[in-house]
Amino acid sequence: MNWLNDNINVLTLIGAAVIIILTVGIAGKYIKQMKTDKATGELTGDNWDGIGEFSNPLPTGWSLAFLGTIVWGLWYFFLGYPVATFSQIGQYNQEVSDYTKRFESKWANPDHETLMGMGEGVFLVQCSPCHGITGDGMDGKARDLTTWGGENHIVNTVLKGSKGQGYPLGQMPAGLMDKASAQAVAAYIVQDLSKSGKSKHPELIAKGKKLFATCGGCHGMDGKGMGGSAPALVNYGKAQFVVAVLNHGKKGNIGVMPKFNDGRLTDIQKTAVGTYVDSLGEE
Amino acid sequence: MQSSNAINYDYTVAKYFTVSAIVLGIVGMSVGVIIAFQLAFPELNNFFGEYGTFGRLRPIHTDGVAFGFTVSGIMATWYYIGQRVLKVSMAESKFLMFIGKLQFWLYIIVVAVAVVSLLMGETSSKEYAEFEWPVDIGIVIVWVLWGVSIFGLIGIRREKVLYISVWYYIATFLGVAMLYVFNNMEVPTYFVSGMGDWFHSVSMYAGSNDAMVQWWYGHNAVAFVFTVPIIAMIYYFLPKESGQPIFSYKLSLLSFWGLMFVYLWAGGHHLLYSTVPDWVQTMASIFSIILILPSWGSAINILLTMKGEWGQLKDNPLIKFYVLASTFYMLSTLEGPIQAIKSVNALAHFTDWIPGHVHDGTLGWVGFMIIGGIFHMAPRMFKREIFSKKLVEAQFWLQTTGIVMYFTSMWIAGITQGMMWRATDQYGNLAYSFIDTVEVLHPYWTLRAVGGSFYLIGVFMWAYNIYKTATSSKAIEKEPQYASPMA
Ligand code: HEC
Ligand code: HEC
Repeated sequence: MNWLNDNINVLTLIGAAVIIILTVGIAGKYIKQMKTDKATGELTGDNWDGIGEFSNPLPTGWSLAFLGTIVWGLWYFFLGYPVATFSQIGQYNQEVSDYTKRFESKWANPDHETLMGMGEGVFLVQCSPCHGITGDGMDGKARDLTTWGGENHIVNTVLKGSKGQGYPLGQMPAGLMDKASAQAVAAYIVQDLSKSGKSKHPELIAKGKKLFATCGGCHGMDGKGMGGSAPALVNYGKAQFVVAVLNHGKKGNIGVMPKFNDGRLTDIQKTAVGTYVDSLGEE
Repeated sequence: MQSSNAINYDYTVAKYFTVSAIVLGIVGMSVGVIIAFQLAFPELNNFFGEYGTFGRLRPIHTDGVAFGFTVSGIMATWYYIGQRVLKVSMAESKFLMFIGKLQFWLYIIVVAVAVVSLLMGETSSKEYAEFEWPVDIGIVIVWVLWGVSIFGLIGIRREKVLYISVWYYIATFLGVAMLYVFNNMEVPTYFVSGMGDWFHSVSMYAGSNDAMVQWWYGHNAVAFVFTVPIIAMIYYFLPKESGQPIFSYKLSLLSFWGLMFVYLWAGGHHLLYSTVPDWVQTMASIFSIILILPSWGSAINILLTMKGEWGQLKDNPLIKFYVLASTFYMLSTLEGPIQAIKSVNALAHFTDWIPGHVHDGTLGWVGFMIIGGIFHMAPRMFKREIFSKKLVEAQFWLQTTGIVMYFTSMWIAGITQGMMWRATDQYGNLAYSFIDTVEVLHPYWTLRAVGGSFYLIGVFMWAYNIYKTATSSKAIEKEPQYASPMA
């Protein structure tokens, strides 16, 4: 990245330089006069505890600068940038929307590699403080994403239930079916319904499809989540599934995951981080 | 003209406040060094349970150095300078003597209560205005007593014309009184609604209004505690120690009124890009820039007073303290306004550059003037030579090194931090998380703590030197007119 592409950075560095140069230059000039010049002037005649005062005129540079800043201040306030013409919130909205527009048009059609790169960047800044740099959840501080999103995770979810994303259907109860059936449903979901990967038990898919009726009551027989009432399992194992988590947040048994739907991530960034999170989990 | 030596000035109260300045300086700055190390090494929070945590200690540091060390310094110098430039002794008025002593002892009680209540975690949570209402009332009484003392002494003065320093002490009195009272308007919850403990209160203002009043106060606490009374000191100690007349009466007059008029409008620069109205922010930025000139006016007046006096600068360590103090005053009064420019503030706000700015003002300007001022007063108050000139020199260089380490590390840390917060990667995502900045900044935080330690060691050297001066240094027969005698 190029630090100097940002005018705030540039102005700050100039400001810092001005502070040093002016202070050292001007204080230095006066300190040098202690060596080279002599105190002159007419005494005012007053004397306090042995302290006198010269009636020397104001230093010209100082007076001009003082007048200059006063005139500049009046101009700035009333003519240059009359206060009613500026809105901080307006400026913020404008800058954010411009940036987002540029961002979205630049990355309108990202390939997989771009999504992975961008997603890793987003993950390291936005997600790693809780999930850890490797996504392992840092000893249970947040969800271990390396065991999330695969076939096993479906089995676990069916056995243990799931809650906290605030779907209209509330929580998914534990123990909806036994382990063997859950395995079959899992195989069906990953390889047939969402087609996000190859199942380790392809022979169970047909059985799973039948058993999916238990799930369809909430997730929809088509797995699309019945118009947002429950997670859309057709997206299981794909970036969209993570995006749904980001939009909902989750307050489950592990802790609280905030929502990311306040505009801090664009849709492309969400898809990107979703793609990246999927790559962390097991198949 | 009557010789000033003819009057027997009574320094009792000045001596009291000198002691409290030294003691509270040591306390406040020791806590400062501790919390600086805590920021670099968080494990240091774990001693002494809740009482040793950063959150409890931080207000003890800030209030301790501002209202303990600095205010004691202001009082000590007032009770010294006031008499001399008004040509009247405290001994001439039993009443004023009583008020002075009363003010001191009440002050000590209030400070003790304040420290304990802060340690207990009782705070109204407004920065530099943390004290709960009973402490506030105590502070107001102490302040009123000081007012009585100032105007009482002025009332019985022999010197008709008020010296510049006196203007500045009066301004300090009036400014702080107004700011303190209005910002600490609070509702004692127990008496109004039966909620909370009897000493709890909530601010009378809400939300953005509270923020505006708070930073009108906070910023002008810097003006009327860290600037105005310190200018009072330098206008006395520098010409007195050097024997040089002040360069320009006009410049002191214009700078004084400029400062008074402009300072009060600049507080909003603490709230740039916040919820306060846009015009308040713009106005604050503009006034901050204009403020450079009246601030620099005083500093320039002081430096020009020393024209041709290179020899004194070289030989007299007290003059070194004063000249470097005005230079640091120039540095921080240019730095502040530049940080108040919105585009710079967009980066600087909430970074380490801000405490960096505060400390080149407080360590370099406030601290140096109080230390240097008390050094000048000591031989006259105790009628003995300053115990060791070598020690003064060594202290000067050690503390100067400390300040330079402090502010360079915070400049670099702050600007780096601000840039990292803004930085984006090749895709346009934000590039760094919080912990990334912590890793990069850690060495600078350590350096800051070490710089602060140097300064603190200097304060101990100062305390020792003053102690020896008061007790065992060589006695002087006649008070010197100008340069302080030192061994
Ligand atoms: C009673 C309604 C209901 C039934 C029946 C149900 N689910 Fe769910 N399911 C939900 C809800 C609601 C959620 C979202 C839970 C949350 O807030 O995290 C969910 C979440 C999930 C998740 C995502 C877990 C995660 O970590 O985000 C999976 C996978 C899942 N269900 C699979 C199934 C399968 C397979 C079945 C059939 C065996 C099934 N569900 C049956 C309501 C149901
Ligand atoms: C403030 C901490 C925090 C941050 C930041 C955070 N998460 Fe989480 N995340 C959690 C916690 C805690 C859970 C587990 C919630 C539970 O199940 O109790 C979780 C769970 C998850 C899950 C599993 C949800 C499910 O249905 O089981 C995914 C996926 C996830 N986070 C992705 C992300 C991504 C991507 C980011 C970055 C954009 C992110 N998280 C940022 C704390 C966080």
